[in-house]
Amino acid sequence: MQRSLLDLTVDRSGWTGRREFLARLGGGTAAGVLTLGWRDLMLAQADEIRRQGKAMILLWMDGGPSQFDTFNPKVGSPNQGPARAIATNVAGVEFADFWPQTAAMMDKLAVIRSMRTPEAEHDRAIIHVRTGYPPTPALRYPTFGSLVARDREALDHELPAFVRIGKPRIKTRDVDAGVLGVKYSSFNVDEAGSLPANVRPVVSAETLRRRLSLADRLDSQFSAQGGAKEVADKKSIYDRTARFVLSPRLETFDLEREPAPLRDAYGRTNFGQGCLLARRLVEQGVSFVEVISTGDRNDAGWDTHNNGFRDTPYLAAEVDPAYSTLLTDLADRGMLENTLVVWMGEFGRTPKIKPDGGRDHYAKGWPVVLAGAGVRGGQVIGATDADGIDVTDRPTSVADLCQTFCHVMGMKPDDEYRTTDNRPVKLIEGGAVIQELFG
Amino acid sequence: MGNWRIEQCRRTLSLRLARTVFSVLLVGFCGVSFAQERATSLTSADLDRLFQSAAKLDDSDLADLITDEQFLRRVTLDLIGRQPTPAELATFLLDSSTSKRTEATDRLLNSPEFGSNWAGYWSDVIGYRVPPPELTFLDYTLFEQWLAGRINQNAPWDETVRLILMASGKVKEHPEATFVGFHQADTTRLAAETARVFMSLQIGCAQCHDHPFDEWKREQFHELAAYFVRASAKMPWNDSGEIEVKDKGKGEYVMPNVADPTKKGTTMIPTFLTGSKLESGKSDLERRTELASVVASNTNPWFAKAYVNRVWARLMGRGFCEPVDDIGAGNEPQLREVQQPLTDSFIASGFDAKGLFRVIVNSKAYQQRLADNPSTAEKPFAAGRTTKLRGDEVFQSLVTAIELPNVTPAKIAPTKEIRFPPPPKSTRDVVSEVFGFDPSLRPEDISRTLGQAMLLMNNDQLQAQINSRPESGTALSKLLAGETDNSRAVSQLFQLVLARKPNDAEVQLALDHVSSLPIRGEAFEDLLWSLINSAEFTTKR
Repeated sequence: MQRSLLDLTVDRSGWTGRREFLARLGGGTAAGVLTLGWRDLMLAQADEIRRQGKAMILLWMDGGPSQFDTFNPKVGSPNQGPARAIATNVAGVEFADFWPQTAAMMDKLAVIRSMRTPEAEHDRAIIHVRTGYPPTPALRYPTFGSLVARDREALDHELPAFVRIGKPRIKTRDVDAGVLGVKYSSFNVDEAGSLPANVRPVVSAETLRRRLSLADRLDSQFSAQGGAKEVADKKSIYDRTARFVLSPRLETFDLEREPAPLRDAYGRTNFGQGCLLARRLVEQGVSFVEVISTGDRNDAGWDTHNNGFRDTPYLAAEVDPAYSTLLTDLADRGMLENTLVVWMGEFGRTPKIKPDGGRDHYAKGWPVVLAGAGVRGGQVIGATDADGIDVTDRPTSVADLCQTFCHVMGMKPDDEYRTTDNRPVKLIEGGAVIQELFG
Repeated sequence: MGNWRIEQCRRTLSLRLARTVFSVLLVGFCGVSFAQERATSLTSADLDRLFQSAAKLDDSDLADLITDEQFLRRVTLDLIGRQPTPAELATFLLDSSTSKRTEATDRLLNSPEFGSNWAGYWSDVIGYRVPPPELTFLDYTLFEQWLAGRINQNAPWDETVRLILMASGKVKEHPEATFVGFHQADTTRLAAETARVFMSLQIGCAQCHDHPFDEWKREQFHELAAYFVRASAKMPWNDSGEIEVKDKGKGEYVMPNVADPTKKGTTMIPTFLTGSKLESGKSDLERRTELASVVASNTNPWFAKAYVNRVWARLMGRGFCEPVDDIGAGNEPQLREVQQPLTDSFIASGFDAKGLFRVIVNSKAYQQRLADNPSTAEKPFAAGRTTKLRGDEVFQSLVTAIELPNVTPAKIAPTKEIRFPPPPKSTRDVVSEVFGFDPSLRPEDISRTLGQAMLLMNNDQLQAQINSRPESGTALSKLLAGETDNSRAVSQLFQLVLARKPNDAEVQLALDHVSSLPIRGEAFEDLLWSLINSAEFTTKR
């Protein structure tokens, strides 16, 4: 009975979006559903429902990786540096040689080589790329994961909708839920494999439940004496927290449950294990997971101003096995068709090479790689010139990219949310879906 | 009553007069200090009369005040940032003096904790809007200590703000230089934040265009920024105490050309929002000294009002203007008839901060009960309001209730690879961060979070204090060892955690729980946990 109900309300071809979903409930099916006590059923099955929807994994290359040393090598150009090009499993498409395993997955990837964006300073570029809006002191726009969390909010669930794995290289450049508020913030796992502090109860589930129930009864006393609003606020957050910390799905965070060879294949690095955790989370119905690559070696991450030729191979050696294993693992489980995997940083790096092999920031022609969720693999979109200096074909903007994310996730870009001062803001403004991706 | 009406008319008249004088002053025709003209010192009774009239309350609305128990928790939290201890509560309840509430207020205002608590508040007001630099962790401890000292001496607020705006030197030697230093002497940020923090004016948007609601013109923003143009702040790596504010020695402020950014902008002469000007060519110290004197002044229409609005908001649960950092012309205040005289009185007192706190907390308006019935639409000011405790207050309350220890892990030394290791976080830092919020936000925009719930539910340091075994040495184990009667033990536990005695229903609830479990200690652990995790514990009621 429950299954058929779910099938009625969830579009099998993909997530329909919160509002549409609720609208459908309010429409033709509602009467029948209501007699079944639909809301309870929905709550109980929320993770199940989310699991059938689209999810997104963002592999965030913190600091801005070099296009020459990743997915747009320019062999023969003086700007190329020591990285050579290698063939991928799609004829005519080459990657830098630090990416042998990813090269073998090219048939699943769509590589956009023509991102052309206005910001070349980390803080401003991060705001722009991660929120879809140019930086302004007037409004703290939410990061895309928070928009997804908001879209999925109507369904109560045990796990947070937006999880972030790894720590940003420099905390102050970070973006969060902004004007949407902490409710839609990411749940942060600093290091894959261990649960963040305070998640795991220190007492048995039975004891914790007993205590929660006692606290509830005490709260009702305060509620009757002028504390009604505080108690209601508290109750809503405690209900959510209790569902989370008491959930059997907390096991999702435990990577010991995965076979050692698979863990090895992802790579025993923070990023590698983070990608494995991302797969486990999406499998359990988490809608947006971000895995941050900063490199385990130093605190410069992909911001390779200095010694780029020394550091980039190390960084790539962490990401290459993790990225390719993630794609294989998702595909093997039949999850890739519902999971958009995006590889990107905030910009690329200068064609000009500094004497020690470093490159500075560059936003006029950098790559983003997408896979899964209906994206047609094996294609390159856009191009830069022979020296990698400027875009020669299909300049692509941040807004285009965000429109595409919305399209995949079943969210309407024109959907508006309200800021605390009641200003309406569209999810995304401008830009157009990159249609070639799905052709 | 009749006298009161006459008194009120006189007051209203003198206010009108004062406003006229004031406008004249603003245009700059008159140099006489207008605060001296009508130095009135408001008493709590005056305040209540104004409040009752402005809020359209009946006598009965102000007749039923909070109990002694409720008063002591409310005022102790508000003034010294923690709940009262059981001993403090017992002493207060036993005191038969009719003036014990005012005496308690004075005692709290004289406690060194008063300065620490409010220095923490101001440090948050400033710090939540300082964008942290990338390579230096900003440590506000020195600033908080300095400010706590000033507050405890009851140094006049205008003088304190002048010191903050004028300060030069290294932060570790001159903590008052924190505001300018931590903002890295950034001219536009300091213009916007000086207006916002010390005058509750939102002129930030005027950086790029004329303000849409208030009267601010784009030029006025940049004229204000011009006061800071010669300040510099050197950022060292890793240690914010080494930040040094000093004079650049040259330069004038140039407002960018918005129409065409490639064209030369306009040189701006430092000019304050009221029109007071300074010549060009002045040194950094001269500029900021002048700015300090025009900002922190009894003729600045916003300075005292901004401070009074913030204190009123924190104590009463709602500012005259919300958000509290916006008292500009576009934001109509509530209870204007209270706001103005209270502000005038604060100016007349020479910015006597403790005096302002005293007048408010000794009023009936402050001592209103919470509404049993949440519907107060008819009379929004007929009942007291709850507020969420600030991060520091939650930590201090945990220390008071369960002797939560403050543990700081060892510092990590920088290495060649990891050049900027984050500084270790003490228990206090962790609790304050998780429960912290920007005090300039509207109360309704301050949310409870998953992180807060998880900390109180599961944090191991905190849970270690919820241990009834005698060998644990916890407050709970001592309480249970000293009191074998369950009903009295329940009462003591309530006093320890919630600073009040339980009502009959609560005692029954607790006793039922104790009798439902085979082990007494375990039942009391549950009870303690539930009290710590109650909505009430983190709420000022």
